[in-house]
Amino acid sequence: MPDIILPHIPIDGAVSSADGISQNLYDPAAAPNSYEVINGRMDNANREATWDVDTTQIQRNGCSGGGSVGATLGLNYFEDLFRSFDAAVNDPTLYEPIPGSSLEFYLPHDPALTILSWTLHLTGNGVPGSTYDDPPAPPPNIVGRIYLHVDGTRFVAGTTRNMLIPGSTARGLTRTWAGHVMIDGPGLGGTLGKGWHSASLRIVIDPTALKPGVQFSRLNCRAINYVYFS
Amino acid sequence: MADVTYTSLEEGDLFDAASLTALFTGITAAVNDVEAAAVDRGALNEAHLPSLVVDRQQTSFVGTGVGGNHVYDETEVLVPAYLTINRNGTSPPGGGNLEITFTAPINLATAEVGGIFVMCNLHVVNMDDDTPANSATRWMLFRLQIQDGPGTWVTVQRTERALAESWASDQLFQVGIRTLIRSGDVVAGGGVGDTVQAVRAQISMQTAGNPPIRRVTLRECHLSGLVLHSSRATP
Repeated sequence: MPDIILPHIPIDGAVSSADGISQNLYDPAAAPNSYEVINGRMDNANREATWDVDTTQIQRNGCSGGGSVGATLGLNYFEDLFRSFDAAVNDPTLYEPIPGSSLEFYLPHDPALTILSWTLHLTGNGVPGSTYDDPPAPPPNIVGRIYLHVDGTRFVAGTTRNMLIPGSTARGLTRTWAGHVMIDGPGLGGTLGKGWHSASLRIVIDPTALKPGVQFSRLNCRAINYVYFS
Repeated sequence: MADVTYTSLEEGDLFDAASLTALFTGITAAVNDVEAAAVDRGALNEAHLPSLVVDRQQTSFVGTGVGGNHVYDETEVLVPAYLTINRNGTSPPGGGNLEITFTAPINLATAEVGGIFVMCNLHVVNMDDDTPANSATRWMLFRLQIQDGPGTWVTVQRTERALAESWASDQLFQVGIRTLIRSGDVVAGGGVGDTVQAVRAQISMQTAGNPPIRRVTLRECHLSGLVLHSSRATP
């Protein structure tokens, strides 16, 4: 867009306009129709077409960036933490962010998209014969569930992304949950733009799950990552 | 023409519309056609460059809703055959394919595109016939295929993943596949050229052939493809 196209070209025999010549030199209101483009507005349109951008010419994190967190310390979540949870309501505010699966990140500019990916290893207890349908008709033998939350809101764009912690006839069987999602930024019409954001896996243990004994889940190795592209 | 040069009018030079316009034109051309040598290391950022994203596509089988599981059994697919995961929350078939098609075919032989980053997550509920002795001989397999320019689907062998059945309990295991599709993958898979139109995920299973029929139950599935601009040169 900032290819300069000067609007006021002198013509022999015509009276020159001082305003016109001045606008050629500097007119921030009419960019790119003045040399004001030089003041930080040059972009890819100003590149001579015969060369390709080299990696070394791009600033570090200038067009992409990312980060990750993880943890290996075991975490036990018991039903006592979630006494007010009602599976039929599935209130997202009662979910607890999981350390090692939660991060805050800063997007220095409006990206085209951001990728979130995660993996989580857990052990749950429960009763045999679990089915895995989600609310509003949760089976009574699901011990708990884990959802991805973005900026504090349960992520449901396009599809829910969750892990139901199942019952098991053999105690101690472990499960692995992994996932990813691409979230559009303003560059592609989305809303995840410049600024601070958060992404977290959040857990709830259902105190009403149909199982003798205490409901709990133990989380083992886990990590969550983000990468953005301009 | 990268350097901005401005030759001052000297006493006696003709000062008319043409001479003035020539001065302007020289500056304009220099700014509009910046050459490579004029751009220093680390000079460019997101404000100067177009989006890195050439295209991105993703599709999901929600799976977690009521009836969201989808089932595949050995009567319809056994190794070496594969079946495209194709029933979003339904069994027998009723959903679309777990497949993404790019807005335009991606030519991986150009300097502008280095590859297609593909991410796939498949939530396996179980492969279970409740027979402990079979658990060592029952496998479910998954892989990705890409569609070349003429429309032929070819396999990316390195994306094959396998999971043994579990007789004791549902598995609830997420099979994750991450790969970068490069130009050589089309020919390596038996395709033609360097163009990729689409990506899809497939399932198969291996059994000993004894009853009962083995079934694989899947829940949500996600497939994403990201095409990024690449740099021609290395640092």
